[in-house]
Parts: sequence; C-alpha cells; structure tokens
Amino acid sequence: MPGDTTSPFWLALGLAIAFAGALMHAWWLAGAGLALCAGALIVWFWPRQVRGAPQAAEPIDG
Amino acid sequence: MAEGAVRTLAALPIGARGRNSVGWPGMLCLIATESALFAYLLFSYFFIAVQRGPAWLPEPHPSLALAGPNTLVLLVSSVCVWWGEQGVKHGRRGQHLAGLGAGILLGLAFLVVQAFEWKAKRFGLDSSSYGSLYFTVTGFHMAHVVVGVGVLAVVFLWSVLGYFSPRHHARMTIASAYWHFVDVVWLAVFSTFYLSPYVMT
Repeated sequence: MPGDTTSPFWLALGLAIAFAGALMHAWWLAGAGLALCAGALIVWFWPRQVRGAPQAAEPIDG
Repeated sequence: MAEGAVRTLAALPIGARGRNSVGWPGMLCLIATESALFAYLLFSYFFIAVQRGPAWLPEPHPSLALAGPNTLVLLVSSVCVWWGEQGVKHGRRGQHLAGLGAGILLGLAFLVVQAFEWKAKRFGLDSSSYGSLYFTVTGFHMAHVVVGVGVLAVVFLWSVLGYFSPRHHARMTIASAYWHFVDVVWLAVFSTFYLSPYVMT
C-alpha cells in the first residue's frame, strides 16, 4: 500500500487554483495552479525506499 | 509469536515490479479515458464532414510539408523511448539514458514544429467549425505531448539519480506506455485532419 502523504491535497488545491484562474481568465493563476499540480505529482510519485524493508539492494518502485 | 510474525513480514516481497505495479492499471485506465476523449472529438469532425461535404474544408488539400515530417519525428521518438526501456530492462544504462533523452528532444522538436504549423494556418479557432475542431483536437494533443515530455523528463532525472534497475523500473514502463499512446493518437489526428481530406475531395 502507498504510504501517507499530503500530495493529493496539494494536487487538489492546484487543480482548484488552475480552474479558478481559467474561469477568471487569469492565465498566470491557471499556470501557477498547474505548476502546483505538477510539483505535487512529482513529489507523490518520487521513488522511495520502503521503511523497514529488508536491506533492499536497489530502490523500490510501484 | 510476535517475533515470528515480524520474520514473516520481512520475507514478504518489498515492492511491485513492472506491470504488477499499481501504476500500470492506473495508466491503462487513463489511456482508455483519454482515447475516448479523442474518439469523441474525431467523431465530431467526421459527423460534420459527412453532413457538409468537401465544401466545408477550408483547405481541401492540407499541406503535409510540416505535418508529414513531424509525424515521422514523433514516431522516431516513440522508437527511442522503447529502445531506452529495453536498455533499463537489460541493465544497459547508457542505452537507457540515450533513448530516453532522444525521445524527450524529439518530443520538444515536435512541439516546436507544431507551433509553426499552427502559425501557418490561415484560419483560427473561431473562424469556422472546422477551425474550432482543428485547433481543439491538435491543441488537446499538444497538451498531451507537453505532459508526456514532462513525465519523460522526470523519469530521466530519476534514471540519472540511479532509481531504476533491471528488476525495478515500473515508472519507466508506465511513462513509456503513455508516450506510445500519445504517438498513436497523433496518427489518428494526422490521418483525420491531413489525409482524409484527400480522400473526401
């Protein structure tokens, strides 16, 4: 199972900001929202070692 | 008892591999929904084209001067990404990074050429229903290419940091599947907007 993370919150906030920006035709705000989405996704999917895993010789993904 | 349980836990597999990753069915679902999106958009084109006839087309014979080579660029980028994926699968790091890097550069080249293609058009988004469809569909596709290049760039960074191995490279496989999807969608878009007018007229 995936570990605990606040990334979905930041992703949702970024999407809300992006759509609000698009509705108001404030494209800089929409861009900022999309940038926040991209950042949240990158952090969320960043490969991490599983805590307590038996001495993995290589990074874990999935 | 508790010690035994801990021992059992430690012996469990320590991470999904390849297509056992939860991200793989997730990507398949994304590809299915995005395919439906493009299918609806292209259906709109053919629906109007059949009703209005050849006179509907603002350019009966769209120029293939830029779009043709650009299609080749995207196809080659897909081959490069596949080659890069083979590299990580077989532990050939140089091949992996070279294939992935070439795929990213060719994706960027596609975007630049497509921008010139847009600029060369004599109609706009609000000129006609054809113009709306052309810029909406190719715009959606360009957005997918932008996302794909971003995903490949992040995967490239992870590769440089040494996060992948022949056993664990699910992110590469998933990113590669998305890039091939973007490529296949372009073939459908290209055939619709650039080749079908030659058949219709």
